[in-house]
Amino acid sequence: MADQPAITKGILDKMVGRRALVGGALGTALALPLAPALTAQAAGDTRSARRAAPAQTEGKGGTIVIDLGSEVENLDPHQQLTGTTAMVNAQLFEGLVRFKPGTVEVEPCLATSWESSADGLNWTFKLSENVTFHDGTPFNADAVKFNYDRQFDPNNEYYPLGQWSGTYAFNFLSGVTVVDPYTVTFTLATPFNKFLERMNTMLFVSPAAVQQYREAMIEHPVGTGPYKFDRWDKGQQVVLSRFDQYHKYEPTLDQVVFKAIPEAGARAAALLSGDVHLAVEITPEIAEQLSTNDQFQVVTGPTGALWFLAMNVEFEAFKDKRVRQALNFAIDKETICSAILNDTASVGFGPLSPAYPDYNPKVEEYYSYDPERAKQLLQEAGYAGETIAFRTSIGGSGMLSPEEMATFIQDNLREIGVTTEIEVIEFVSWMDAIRNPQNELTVMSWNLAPIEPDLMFNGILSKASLPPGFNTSYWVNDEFEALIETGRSSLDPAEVTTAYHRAQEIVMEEAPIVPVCHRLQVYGVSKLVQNFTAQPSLEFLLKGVWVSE
Amino acid sequence: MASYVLRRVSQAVPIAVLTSLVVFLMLHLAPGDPVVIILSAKPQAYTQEEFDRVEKSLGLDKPLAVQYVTWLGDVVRGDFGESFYLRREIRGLLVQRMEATLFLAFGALIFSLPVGILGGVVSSMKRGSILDRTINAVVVAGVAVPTFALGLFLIVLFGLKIELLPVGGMTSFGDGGVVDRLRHLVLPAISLGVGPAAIIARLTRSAMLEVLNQDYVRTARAKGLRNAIVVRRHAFRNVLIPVITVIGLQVGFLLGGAVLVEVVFSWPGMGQMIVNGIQQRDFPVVQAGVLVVSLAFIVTNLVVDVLYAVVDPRIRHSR
Repeated sequence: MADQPAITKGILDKMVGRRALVGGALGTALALPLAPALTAQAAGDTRSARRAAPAQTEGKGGTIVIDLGSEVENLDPHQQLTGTTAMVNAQLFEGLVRFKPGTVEVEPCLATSWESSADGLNWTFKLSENVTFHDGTPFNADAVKFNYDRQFDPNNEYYPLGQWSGTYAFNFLSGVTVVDPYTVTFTLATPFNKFLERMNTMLFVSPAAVQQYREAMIEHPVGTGPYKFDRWDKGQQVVLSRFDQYHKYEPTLDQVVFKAIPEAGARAAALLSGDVHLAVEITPEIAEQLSTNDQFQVVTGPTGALWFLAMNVEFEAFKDKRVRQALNFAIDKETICSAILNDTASVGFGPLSPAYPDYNPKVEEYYSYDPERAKQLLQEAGYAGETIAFRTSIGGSGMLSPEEMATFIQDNLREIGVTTEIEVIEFVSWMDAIRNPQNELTVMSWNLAPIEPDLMFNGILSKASLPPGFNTSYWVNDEFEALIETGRSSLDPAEVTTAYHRAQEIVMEEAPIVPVCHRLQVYGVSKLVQNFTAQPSLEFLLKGVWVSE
Repeated sequence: MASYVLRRVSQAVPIAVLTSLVVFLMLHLAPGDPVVIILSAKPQAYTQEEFDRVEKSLGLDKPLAVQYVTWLGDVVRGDFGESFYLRREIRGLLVQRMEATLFLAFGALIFSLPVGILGGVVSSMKRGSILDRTINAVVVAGVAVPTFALGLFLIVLFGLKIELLPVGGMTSFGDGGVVDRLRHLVLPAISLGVGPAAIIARLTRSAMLEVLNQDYVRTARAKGLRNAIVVRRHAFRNVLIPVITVIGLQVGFLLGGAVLVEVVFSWPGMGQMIVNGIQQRDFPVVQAGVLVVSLAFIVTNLVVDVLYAVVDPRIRHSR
């Protein structure tokens, strides 16, 4: 997630479905029997982090043990695949820019300033002159060029080890030139108005380390971030320690330990026993348990994620948009968020969550929970009452509690006279199944940071994303296409916002999907951990965090 | 003897190859294309060109038969290939994971052997007593209880309530010494060992009962030997044959059955590796993992067969 907010975290980690089986199927089942025990455990337990090194001074120090839930696969940011790995890499590596804490606004990081040419095709960055990599080598324009070539130049010696996943996020780039030792210019093939935001995800590794470690780079990360790599006990933990020469601020923790506990019950046990201080993306069941335990807090933050129903507009019953609108009126989203998800998600009115700067509050006016209205629309549309196949996955990261939610939705739909037959499919197979033209109705989720609306629109609702992409509604609308094109390429911010606002309205009117909810970031955090906050950029930020005894 | 061993080994090889073929086919024919999973990282739809490039880089563009033969050839040379996700040689990964699983299986065996055998012997000697019936009840429970449920129960009881033992993982951060490792081993080893212990107890009991009715045992008693000596020297030794068989089978179970225990206790072993691999459609990892586990199973069975022959000359000669 972290430094790869919009892209890598986004879909990747959902797609790889890290806890599809274990966290989903087993996890939910296992968390339940454990629940009463955990409550009983809650009162007066003060053992949290008993094995952690004692903190030195107020406001500083300590070792934080973080449970990522799934394993880190590769610590080379140019090869990373999952959001899990991105959370670790966010501590080790940096980009030219970063997000200002608490916002999705860009601020300087490895670059101190920048300017773009009038046509938006040339971006010149002034680099900070006092930055060294963890191995002591300097960060400069040559390092930027080296990193670029490694990822984008097929003739580069190190290209095979750097082009795995990140490159698609930068396919608008055409080159980098070194202007002077601390100035570089990035050239774009087409103007891109979220260029700076996207640059946050381009992380820089030490050229010396790449040359030294080559293939083994994945186990020897060397960056410029606040924490440096200590060791990786495979299958057990990744250990980072404070980088004293960090250029931006003084890192507060002595050590950062990342563990991976996949199973939900085991995750809860590790938190309660004090083995772990902070667990990432905990299930609603664990969140509920922790919220009644005074040794813990549940820290939440917004995301740009959307959990929705996709209706195949080519399927007979959904050809009439009144039927699709009826479904939008039929779902009791409030109850889903509170009763099934224990408030680990917020009600979804439109495709974008309110955390996006381009959110259009008007989406809230379109559909409320109104079964009567839904029935009326169905009647007007002459809905024949045919049974609809309703596909749902078993678990899958970002899918929340798909089976419970689908069952609840099935009930909602039954109330308005729509019969559905739920088909439950294992996560990875499900991804194949829903992109089949015969797909009728499916649950679906799209996980992003609330930064670039284009990644949402162009990921699930555009012509370009028709299957094998994830536009499983098969919905194509020319006006919408034009608007998202403007949103993507216009260099006038006001024009972009207007286009995106209108695009959201079209989605509401045409109703190819039923937005259900926006997943929140949910962290289970020991009270010993101080100052931890969730970032809207989804960056996993440990700035100012320390662990008290 | 040598020819017997040789014959058994030659039988084991095709079984291993067949197993690997079945696993290979299951993985490749199951829905969920790893290329698609990897490309789904992309926010926009991928092009055919990109698909082909990734497919080629994973070696998935060739016909299935070619892929299988290539894979098998590499494996024979000790090369298990590279993980799709970890981008790392699987061999190193296997060794690491196998170590953890063997450590766990060994712990489970250390628990289940004495507990099972002792339980069986005691209950056979006190046949019909309350003790016998209690042991029987425990045995039935031991066979019936799902490993993961028992694991969670143990975590809650010993990890959270009594706070005696760690709740998961193989080491504590900042420790990792022998004592620390052993402490981490206790709960998972018990969870994993209870099933085999119950089966061993049950088998030992019935075998003991059978043997205790034999003429030579009656003769020994008639000679006026003390009960303990009769049991130890005359009965127990003969009980060992069926017990060894079942132990052999249980070792296979311990290796394969460790999956759930490893998941519940976040134990970094083969089981967890295979589960992750299946979720990510990381074919080479799953293939290598399953192959190694099945080989281990076959080898233990082989060892058991050979052991038999050593323990009981009749087997050796009759074949």
